[in-house]
Amino acid sequence: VQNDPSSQGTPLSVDVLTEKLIQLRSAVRALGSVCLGYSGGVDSAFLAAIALQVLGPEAMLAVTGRSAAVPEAQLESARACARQFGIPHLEIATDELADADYAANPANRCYFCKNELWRVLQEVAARHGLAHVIDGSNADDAHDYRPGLIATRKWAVRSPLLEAGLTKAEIRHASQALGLPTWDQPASPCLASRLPYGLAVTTERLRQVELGEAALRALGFREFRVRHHGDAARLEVAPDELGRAARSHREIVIALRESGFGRVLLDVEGYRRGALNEGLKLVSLEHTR
Amino acid sequence: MSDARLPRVCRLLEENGIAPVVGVAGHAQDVLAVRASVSELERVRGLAPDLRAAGFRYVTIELEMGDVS
Repeated sequence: VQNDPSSQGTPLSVDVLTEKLIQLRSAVRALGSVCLGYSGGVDSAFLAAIALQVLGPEAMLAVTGRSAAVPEAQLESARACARQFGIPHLEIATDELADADYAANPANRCYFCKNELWRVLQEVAARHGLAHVIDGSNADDAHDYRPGLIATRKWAVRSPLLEAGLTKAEIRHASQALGLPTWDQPASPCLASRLPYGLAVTTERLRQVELGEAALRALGFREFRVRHHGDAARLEVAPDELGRAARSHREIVIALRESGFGRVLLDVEGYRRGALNEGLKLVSLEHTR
Repeated sequence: MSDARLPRVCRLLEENGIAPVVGVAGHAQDVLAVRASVSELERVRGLAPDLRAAGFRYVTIELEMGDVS
């Protein structure tokens, strides 16, 4: 038993992980050929590396959906990882913003985004003669509020990491062993996740968030979110960086005002994953099927 | 002060030695913006659960260029 490299404090059993990795390789091999939804994040980068090892470059393609909701820094990171490991990689435009249901930003917005992504990837898979579309959902995602998983089922997208029971901590550990640069990468959900539900998703707002976060990254912050609240930016930084944020408040104000925000608000409780889901009641999403 | 939540917020701040200068932000009006110096960050943070209980989802300090920390 080793310490969890994601620092969440959960013990990690190497024996259990080894067994899950055997299951994963077996499941990927059984798929024959795959078209992978690839964001370049921890999960999809790991799955891309495994699919490449198991199936070879002729039988796998990593596809990144490109839209205003995907920051350029993330696209570049996805490209770099694919280049480094020789992963066949394709970028393709998606148009979720044209979907009024998505743009209205309801609590199940992710369903409409994934619906568009998987529609496009099924077309790509058919064009390239790839048997299955797969994604990087993991075992932890099954316990989170993830309306996107409904679209995953609708489009018959397989989730080999989830099916093998691999948790985020285990994927990070295995990624480190494979030498993947993504092993300790912070979570990087799309830019629309920075807008509270009900605030319309627009290209301009996504751009403001992207600019603001790029500026914060340039100031040295690593784990943070710029949350868009209309005319105000609410900045969440990791609790251990709150002191630094206070000391750098002038630079932060300049950066976020230049990104188009009229007011700059520092959240005193700091960054927490899924903060915009706080207070959200889990509702049945059957109607979106 | 038209927002019915703010008197309670101001009372809490005053009781803890923080000037009760506040505003509300967000399209859902669910963000409390305390206009305090960033040097008050830890004290406002300590009060956050009580401030949220007044009817806000998020508690923030409004950053200004002229703030003296």
